[in-house]
Amino acid sequence: MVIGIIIAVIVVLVIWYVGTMNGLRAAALKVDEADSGIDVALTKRYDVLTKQLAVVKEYASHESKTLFETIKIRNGMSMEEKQEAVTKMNEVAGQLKITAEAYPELKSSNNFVALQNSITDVEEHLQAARRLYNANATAYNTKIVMFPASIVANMLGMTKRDLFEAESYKKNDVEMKF
Amino acid sequence: MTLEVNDLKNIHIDVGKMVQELKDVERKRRMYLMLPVAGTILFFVFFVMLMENGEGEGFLIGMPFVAILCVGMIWFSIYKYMKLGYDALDSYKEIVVRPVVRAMLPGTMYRPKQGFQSEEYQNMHLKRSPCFQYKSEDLLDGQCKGIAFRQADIEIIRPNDNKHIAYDVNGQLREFEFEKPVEGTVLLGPHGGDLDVQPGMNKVEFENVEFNLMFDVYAEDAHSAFYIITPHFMEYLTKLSNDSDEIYMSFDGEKLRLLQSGKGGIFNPPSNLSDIAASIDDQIENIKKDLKQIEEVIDILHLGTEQE
Repeated sequence: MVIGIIIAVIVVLVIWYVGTMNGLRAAALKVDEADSGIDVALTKRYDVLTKQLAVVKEYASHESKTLFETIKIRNGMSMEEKQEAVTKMNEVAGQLKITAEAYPELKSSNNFVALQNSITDVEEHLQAARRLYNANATAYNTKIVMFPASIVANMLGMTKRDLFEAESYKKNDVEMKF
Repeated sequence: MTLEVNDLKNIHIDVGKMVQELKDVERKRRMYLMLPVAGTILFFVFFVMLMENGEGEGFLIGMPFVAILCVGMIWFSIYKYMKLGYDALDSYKEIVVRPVVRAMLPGTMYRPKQGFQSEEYQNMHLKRSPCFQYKSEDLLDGQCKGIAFRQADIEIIRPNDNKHIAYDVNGQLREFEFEKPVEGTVLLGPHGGDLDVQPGMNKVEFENVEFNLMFDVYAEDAHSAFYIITPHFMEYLTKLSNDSDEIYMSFDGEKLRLLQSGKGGIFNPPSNLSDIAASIDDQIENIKKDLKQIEEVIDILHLGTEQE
């Protein structure tokens, strides 16, 4: 009888452990997927900015190039590095906008306008990727600290994920024009 | 008497004409209400006359004839009574609704007797509705700020558990056409509602807990859901939800559909025809408020290509 109860308790514990472990891993996978979504959006934004710089170069000399060269996009970047890259890209985009204001023929050129539209689109995607990552990371962070799932999380060595809070994306929607 | 609506230029609603038409309708309706009474009196007069002449051959032939005549009169009067009501509704839409639509959404076609087809609605996969009786009318078809849109009232009736008739959908469906690169379809509906979730769609949880408690969102790609449902749009959907019973939305990369159920038809006048003239200002304000929502959606999603 006693042995039967012990076996039943062990079976229940094992089922609970496996269930909790799978739930936590699924949550971690979601965070990783959302993280890679940010990478894709960042790469797209970097590419469009590169093209925009090339167009600006045809019309005017600009100082954005130096700042742009400091932006490093690579696989496996930490959240802090991604935030820094976004901040720098925002600065470069701002400088290019100022340059375009000073050169009307640049501002009205088809290439520049098309790239400007692309920028707004990739920024919108970047914002969506950031929100998705933060929503998943928050859900994951909550799960791993909640008792009794926290026991399994500790056993698996799961740690909290950093949120992606780029300064300029904190509160506002990106202004889009299609 | 002509009414000029406060903040709308070039709009003149002939309230005098509307009132006159309504008076005529009321007069005619009263007349048709008298017909069944006249029919009943006629029936009894014939009945008494035939009884006095004895229950002979004349009685057997005359009675069914008189009965058919009376039933015919009653049926005819009910038909005419209802038809006059529908005619008054048509007049209301032409005299009151059409000028407001023309002033607020120039170039938009207004077809009071048309709407979304039942099959078209089913193919939108917004709400799982076993259609018992489907009706759609008051179609608006046009462009607002460069974005093509359609809007119509939708009414779906189905018998509920007690075998009584209940509204399944009773509100407006709006469809906006614009392209945004998303994968699959994003579907939103009230929390625990009858969403028509398709295979391959997964539930998406947003960063806003209150929003998650209010709505269920399903998508084939979570990124697409976050892409179309921005924080600003979330706020707007929450606001809309407070104004009506249920909100359903879908976006497939080309068309955004927004179903707002629970408000009833927006272009319908008060059920008591004599109240129309008395509350015309309120009715116009309600129509304006509802039409403004078309512009609001376009603004909130930053879709407009034309400057005001």
